[in-house]
Amino acid sequence: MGMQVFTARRGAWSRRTAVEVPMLMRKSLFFLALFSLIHIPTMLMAAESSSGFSTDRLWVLLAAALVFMMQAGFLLFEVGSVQPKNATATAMKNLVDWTMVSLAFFLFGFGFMFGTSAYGWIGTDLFFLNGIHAEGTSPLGFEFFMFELAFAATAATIISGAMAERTYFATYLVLSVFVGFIIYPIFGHWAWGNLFIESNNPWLAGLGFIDFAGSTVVHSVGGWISLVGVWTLGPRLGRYDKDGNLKELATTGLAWTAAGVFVLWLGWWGFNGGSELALNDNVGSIIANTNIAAAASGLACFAHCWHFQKRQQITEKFMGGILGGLVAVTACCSVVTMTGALAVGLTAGIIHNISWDFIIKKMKLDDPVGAIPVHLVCGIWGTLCVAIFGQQALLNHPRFVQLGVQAIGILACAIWTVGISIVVLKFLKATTGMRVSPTEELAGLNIGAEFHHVPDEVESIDEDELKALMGDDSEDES
Amino acid sequence: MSDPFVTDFDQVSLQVGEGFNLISKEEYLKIPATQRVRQILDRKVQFLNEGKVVPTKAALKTLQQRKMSVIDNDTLSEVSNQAKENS
Repeated sequence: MGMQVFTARRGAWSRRTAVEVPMLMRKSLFFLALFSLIHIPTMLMAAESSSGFSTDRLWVLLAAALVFMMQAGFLLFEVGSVQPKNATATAMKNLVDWTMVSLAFFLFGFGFMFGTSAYGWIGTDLFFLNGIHAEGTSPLGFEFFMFELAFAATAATIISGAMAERTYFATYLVLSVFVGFIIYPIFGHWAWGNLFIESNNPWLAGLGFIDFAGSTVVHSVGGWISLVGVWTLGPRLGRYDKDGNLKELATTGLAWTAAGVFVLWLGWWGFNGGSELALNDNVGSIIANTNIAAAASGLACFAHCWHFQKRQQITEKFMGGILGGLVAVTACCSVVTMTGALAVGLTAGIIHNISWDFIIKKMKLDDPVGAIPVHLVCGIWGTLCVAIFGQQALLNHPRFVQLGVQAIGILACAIWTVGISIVVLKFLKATTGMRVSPTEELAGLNIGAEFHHVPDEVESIDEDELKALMGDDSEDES
Repeated sequence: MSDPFVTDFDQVSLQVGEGFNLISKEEYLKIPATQRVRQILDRKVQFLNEGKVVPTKAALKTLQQRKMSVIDNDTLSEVSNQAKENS
């Protein structure tokens, strides 16, 4: 029989291998999984006792992986929402985010955010991760770095969706570096600067500001930069008609966007659950709160759009609303009960819809993926929800004082992020330009023109022609 | 009957460095005339109407028709003289 196999015709051999190899793989995977189930807990316990390895570190690393996976979620969400002619270019910008932020955060960002604090305003060491295992730092070390790096990249990638389909690649690249290098880490230090070095006393955390996993620190920062970016950039060509009415543009496929929502939803379990920085009794309730808020927000958003907004853009709003619920509960998932999380989600869904119409239809800020209502508006709402729906015993101040502190944190974030974004984006606008050319934009950015950037064949007019044109004008005037 | 070689525009795309910026017609007309002429000669301008590119000459003729001239003859001569001196 064995010889028959070797002397069989190529097609028969191929068919047989095509059947047998997957069978073999399935069997191997089964035994591997069985082996893992039996032995990994034992190995973990042994490792924990012998080498200082802990399940906390494993959990943070796993959570970092989940948050990293959110990049793929954002990619799917954005690619599905943009026009097919820009899908690849949009995906490239997501890749650029991780690449640039990885470097920027390693070089300086991590140090500015978590290094030894200078008067509570900025970190001053841990650059290039030097001293990450020094005395007085968290034992989480590199696991903590990977987890926080994934957070920094999340703040950056929010912007790519809002500015999609018309931003000049090099300009976006520089902006992305600025986000990972300075914009995100500085504000992050104010709120979270004592997470890695406990003796630090960052000023906002010192006031008692609570933002458990980053409704403001991560999402509003990305949202504010998106707002300034979209305002500086202008809308996509053809997005609004002459009277300023919104025009629907084709999408690659909202099914991809829905797939992105699922990936993000799962990733958020790591985003919020991992922010506990330990595998303890709170993690389960944090993840449950996260899930219920997203579901409630999706339902509220859908029902609100159905009854009060004439079902306009209901699919986009439903998907954005789910993300809005996730963003809102991010700040408060550790201090609310399940009922509180439900309330956070229900309100976030409605706020998302109202702000979507206000920002995109009334203000005419063209945000192709609805990043501003999701990340900025729901981020602000979630930060306030800490004081509104949080359990008093888990707050740092009486409820109304806590509300004031939360408002200070939101305001500080707005002033810092908007201020520095305006400076950076105005500088880029004056030096490199913000957009691709109209010809490139209309043709689509997938063809690679954006990356090679061949200038357009703009219609040329020589001086004589121009003179003739102006001459006609002078004749008219005379 | 309207002239097919005259097309109105509502936005202007200006090249800055390697990228471009999009500005409204009103903002464009605030740019000094000499600078606007230089930009046209350097092929750094594209005129747009409702999101579509409009031929430069057609857009300039619109300005003529509406008596919103891009440049007067004195400014043009000044720029031309400068260009000749530079060359």
